[in-house]
Amino acid sequence: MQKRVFLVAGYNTVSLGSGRSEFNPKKENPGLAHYIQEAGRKVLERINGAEQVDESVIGNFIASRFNNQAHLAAFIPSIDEKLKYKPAVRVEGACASGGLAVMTGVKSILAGTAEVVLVLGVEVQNTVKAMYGADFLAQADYYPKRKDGHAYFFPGKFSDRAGAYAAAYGEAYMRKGLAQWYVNCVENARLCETAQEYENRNENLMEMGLLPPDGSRFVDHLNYTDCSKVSDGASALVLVSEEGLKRTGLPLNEAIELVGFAQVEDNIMEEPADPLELSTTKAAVNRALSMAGIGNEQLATVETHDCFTIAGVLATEAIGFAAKGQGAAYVAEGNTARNGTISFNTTGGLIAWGHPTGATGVHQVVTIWQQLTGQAGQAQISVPANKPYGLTVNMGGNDKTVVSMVFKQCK
Amino acid sequence: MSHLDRFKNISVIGAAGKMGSGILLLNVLHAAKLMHHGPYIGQTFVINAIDQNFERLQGVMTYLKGQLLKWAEKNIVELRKLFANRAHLIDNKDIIEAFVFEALSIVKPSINMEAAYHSSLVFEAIIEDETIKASVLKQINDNNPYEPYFLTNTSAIPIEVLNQKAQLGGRIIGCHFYNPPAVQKLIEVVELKGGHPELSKIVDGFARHMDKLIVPSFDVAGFVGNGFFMREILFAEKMYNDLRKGLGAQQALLITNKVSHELMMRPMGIFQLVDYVGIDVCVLIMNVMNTYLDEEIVSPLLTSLLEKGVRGGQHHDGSQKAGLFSYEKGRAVELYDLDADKYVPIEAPALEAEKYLSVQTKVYSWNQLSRSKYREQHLKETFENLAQEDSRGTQLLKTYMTAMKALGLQLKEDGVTASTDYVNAVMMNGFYHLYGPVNDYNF
Repeated sequence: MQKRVFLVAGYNTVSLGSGRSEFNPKKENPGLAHYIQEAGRKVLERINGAEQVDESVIGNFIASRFNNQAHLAAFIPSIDEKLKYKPAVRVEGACASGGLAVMTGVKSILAGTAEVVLVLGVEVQNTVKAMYGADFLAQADYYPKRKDGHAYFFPGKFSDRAGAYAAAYGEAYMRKGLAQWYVNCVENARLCETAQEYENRNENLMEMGLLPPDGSRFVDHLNYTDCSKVSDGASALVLVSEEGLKRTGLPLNEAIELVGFAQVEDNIMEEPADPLELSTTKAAVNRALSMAGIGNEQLATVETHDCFTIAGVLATEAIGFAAKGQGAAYVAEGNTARNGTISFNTTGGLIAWGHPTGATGVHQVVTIWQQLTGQAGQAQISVPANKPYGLTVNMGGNDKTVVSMVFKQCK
Repeated sequence: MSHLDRFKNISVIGAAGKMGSGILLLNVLHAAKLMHHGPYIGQTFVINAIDQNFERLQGVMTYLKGQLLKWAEKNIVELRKLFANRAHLIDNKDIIEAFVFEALSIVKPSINMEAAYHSSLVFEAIIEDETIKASVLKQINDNNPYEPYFLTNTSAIPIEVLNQKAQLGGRIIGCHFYNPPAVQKLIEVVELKGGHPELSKIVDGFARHMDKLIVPSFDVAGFVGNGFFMREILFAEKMYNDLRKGLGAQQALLITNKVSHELMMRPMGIFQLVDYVGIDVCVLIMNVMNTYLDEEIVSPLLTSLLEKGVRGGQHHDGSQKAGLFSYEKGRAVELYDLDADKYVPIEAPALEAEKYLSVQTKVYSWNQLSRSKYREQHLKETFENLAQEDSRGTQLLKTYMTAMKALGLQLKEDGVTASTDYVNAVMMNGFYHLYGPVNDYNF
């Protein structure tokens, strides 16, 4: 890279939705402005105020449907009046909107138009019941396919992938992997106060994860435990150049450095060539690792886009930890647990931390920053000296838009 | 005319009532799904919702809209398949709205009985009064050229009596829904001896489509459900009177209610159940049974309460009216002191009743057990423990359980049912008991 890019501040609001005791779907819950302002103000506090910020980016998938609200960039000055009359832009790439927001901020720094960029991601989805939300989220795929899709469109899409995986490698074999992924996620979420499943006290997680799916009520090959949460929330972070870092006055060891990234697209009009593979994810991760000049064995942690447990299992294969078809075993054997070979989704991932769609890509990066700078609280993992790297994988649609980034500790 | 063809023009009489509105909803759901199948696609369906005034009918239409929307949202997976051929309906929202609109469109509210003159199926859910029922059924039958089939929701009146009085020529069957019909799985079906055989096939098909459970009963006043329930009320009243010999009215009432609720691990006590059904309704049913059975089915307790204007039952919004207890948010907060003829707070007498019963064994609540997959095991162990305890509570429990078993056996002996399994099925599905009265527990 022609310039060094650092991340110096991050913040996640609570992921609000079913599972959180303060959530009541029948009462009015906080809206977009609340989340944008909370997340934005918290990170600005860390960098000594909004006057440091040159530009802002906000990632959001579909507030125009969930909240009847478009034009989200114009919410940025509501965070702090010093952001008024400064550049801000809203970006969208379905569930990868957050990742795209970070990428857009990075490119501003690389282009030299900004030294300090405020990046946010937000989504408020609990405004409608799940069956109507499914309509909105289905727009992350090619709309002419909606009619033939499942009522719960994306669970249907990933159920098809799970069905193909089960057909190729065995239903029971796959189910063990999916169930273990679910167990890992909830156990990790119990260590993170902002996680949607933080208060989960179920002692029979594995039993729940192993329940056979019921296609007459939901989808054929996935349970509710295999699905990410319906969430409201926002995440924010601040990207800086070396010049920007000086301006904030923060020490280098509180920052992490972006050392590799990739943002890739596949054709939304086409079905995946191979349902057993996240080929776009694979391309993005390979490019990001290659740019960072490292192999996956040097990663201390990964935040991957487990919108469904099967996506988590397939990601272990796409990132190269497991061979094709071996991901379920790799997960079932405990390799992806917080104390396993490689810690995945250390605060619960999309399955248990939550999935406020437009915020997810930002949340993943904030989690990597917390882990690599030792600020993850109870959820902190050990980061070995020879593995100072963290990887993110943020996916939009059915593996169509993928943002992958590699960060490194700064010492 | 095929069985299903008869569903193309239906009338529900008493459609705005507690039972009628639920039966109407079931029929609307049934027809709305039928409209999407093979030969019925594109055909006209009519459901006449007949009641006495437009205000009540307007309320029913609002109720229907809300319930249809809930059903459609809950069953969107099934609904998308039903609407697969409607290319312009793409989003779940489009499909749900179309379903609700089309389902409501087939309902024709009316205050005129003449609307039923074109129906081939007539569901009757009016007041439990044989003269009124027979008169309505006869009027429709005399003026309807299609020889309609009648499905009566009577819970007590012998079907043969209605058949004779309304001169229906055997085109009637008892179809006793439980409250609320849209939720309760049970339908108690009473075939008329020598009745039209096609009727039971229609009811079978309807029940299967609507995921209902049919339990047959012979044509004896009260049938299985009320045959058991009314006699249980009389037994509870006797227990109350026996307790009254040494205790005050408040305690006697609460103790009887607690034994039949908490110690028997039922969803509510017998006197709360009387309130839920309505004291007036219970007295009406007892009157019917008393008329047709060679047995005195009379409750001086309920009759005197009714004379004092204490009626129980429910408000239109489903909330509970005051009866033997008064309620707040569905919870009993006061009880009716039969000595003083006034409501008193429940806390103090409840503590006294608890002390009187002095049961030491840990008893599960109905709520806990109804959700537990170890229900059978917990019931068995709890009853074994209770059987070993010698307290006033367990003695009363034993008396109550023994009497209930005897009631179940008596229904079979009296020719009300072919099997005590049916008695158990009715009590478990219609009354939400966790076990049938005819059981092997050690009481």
